[in-house]
Amino acid sequence: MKNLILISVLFLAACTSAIKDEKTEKENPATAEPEVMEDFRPEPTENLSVQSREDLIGYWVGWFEHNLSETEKQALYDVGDYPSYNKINISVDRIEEDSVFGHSVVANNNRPFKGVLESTDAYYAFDVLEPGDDKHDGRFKFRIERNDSFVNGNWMAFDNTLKVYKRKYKLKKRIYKYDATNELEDWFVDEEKHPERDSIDLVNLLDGRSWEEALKSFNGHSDSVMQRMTQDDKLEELEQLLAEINETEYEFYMATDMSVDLNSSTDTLKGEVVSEMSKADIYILRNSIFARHGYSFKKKDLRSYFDRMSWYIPVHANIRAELTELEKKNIEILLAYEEHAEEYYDSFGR
Amino acid sequence: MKSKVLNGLLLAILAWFSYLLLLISLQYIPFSSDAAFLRIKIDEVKIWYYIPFFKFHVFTSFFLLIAGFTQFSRWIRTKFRNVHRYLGWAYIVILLLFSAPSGLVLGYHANGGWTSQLAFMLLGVLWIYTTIRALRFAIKKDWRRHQNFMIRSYALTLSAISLRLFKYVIVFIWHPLPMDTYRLVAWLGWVVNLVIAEVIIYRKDKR
Repeated sequence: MKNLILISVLFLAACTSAIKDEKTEKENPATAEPEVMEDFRPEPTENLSVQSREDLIGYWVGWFEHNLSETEKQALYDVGDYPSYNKINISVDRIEEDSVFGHSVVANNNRPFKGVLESTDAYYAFDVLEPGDDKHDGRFKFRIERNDSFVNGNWMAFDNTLKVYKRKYKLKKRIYKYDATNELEDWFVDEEKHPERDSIDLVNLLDGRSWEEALKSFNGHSDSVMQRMTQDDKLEELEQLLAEINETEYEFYMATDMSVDLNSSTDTLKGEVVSEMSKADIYILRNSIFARHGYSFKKKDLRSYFDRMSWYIPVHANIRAELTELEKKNIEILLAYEEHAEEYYDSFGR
Repeated sequence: MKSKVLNGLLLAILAWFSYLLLLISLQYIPFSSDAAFLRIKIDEVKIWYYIPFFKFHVFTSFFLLIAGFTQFSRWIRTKFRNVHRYLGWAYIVILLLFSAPSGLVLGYHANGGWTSQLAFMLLGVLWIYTTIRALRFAIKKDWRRHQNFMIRSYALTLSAISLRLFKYVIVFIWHPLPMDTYRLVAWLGWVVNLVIAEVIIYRKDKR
């Protein structure tokens, strides 16, 4: 009889879809298993321009863009796809004679490389290979003029059937240091250039493209149409596009000022404050902790959002050990509200 | 005939929402202090009395809904007076000893600041008041007023359903911030019910 009761309780409990929604899987480096990968941290010189070979050591950071031809790009657009771009960190770890060792971090992928360094009076040129046991491995070639501070280069995948099999980049040397006070930047403040929106939806919509490019592909405008449109027209169309995308879940998924006014690495977040937030606020605040530690995000929306913070550098694919006690507490409370909102925000139960 | 169909329909709706509330209560079996609603009550669950009162509230309030199926039926009232009497006592005892006092405590700790705290505590006070009045009129055998106050008491009981229904509809249409919704439904959830109860009582007494 007792069993019968238990079984019926469990059966009823299984019907909970009537009262709540499913939780989604979270990207949570705070609880992820530590990776076995050796995480090498180079010791760079303070010089941001390259005066000697030692100055080459360190993180070279910038946009990892596609290097496809117009026809290749069009072919992607035609199937509703587009080449995304991400912030990449090419770390030159060690130089021995003309051999160079390093690793790159992009999109939660931390891959070692090794190869040769060609030094001349005018420039340094690198030609390095990734191991080749990952389908996204390839060959980096980049060079920097002496006394210059920019690295220019390209990357070719070993597998040329990849969607984006070749990429290019222009990188700057950056010194990474954990700084809890790094603030989220409201990066749509320039009204001339950008719509006044601080929203993860817009980031999703753009997905690495400029917003004009996004508008063009979503609304199927030709170049000449785009040229004829005034800035105001374009902004208006973009607003409409966003409104359509958010048709059903508009307000709740928009970030409010709270996401930029608070700092989840320095402020103790109390339940009463978090409870006032939208889901987007909570989502941004929780993940900004990982971003400050240089976590390289798996999820596209998070990459697109944090890649645009000027202080953000993808440094590690695993930052679990780096979190401070305050951050761990904040993650716990933010996650509680995020999951609760996911399950109960628009359902009957609570 | 028409009213019989309407009655049946209302009972079916009540049955459906009672079932949903049962599901909500069952989320806490086996009990865990971070299940469902308690997940966002991180500070409150550390207060020694919060979880006991929460359990009283969740595991007793569901039974009060059952009164809606039997106590307003004239047929049961006349043919099976004892059924009406015993279930009535059960309703009053559960409500006054467990559901309402624990509701007051939970209301005091409600999210959303003083507006929602006031709303839930006022709901608790009115719930107790209307039920006691109903009981005293039953003892005095003043059946008309006993019925009126039980209609009010049960209308407040139904706020368990209407509050969530309001939340569902408001979110569906406007998608406000969660806490704004909560502050709104903390009031709407029972004030609307009470207004409807008064309309029902007014029309009944006029006849």
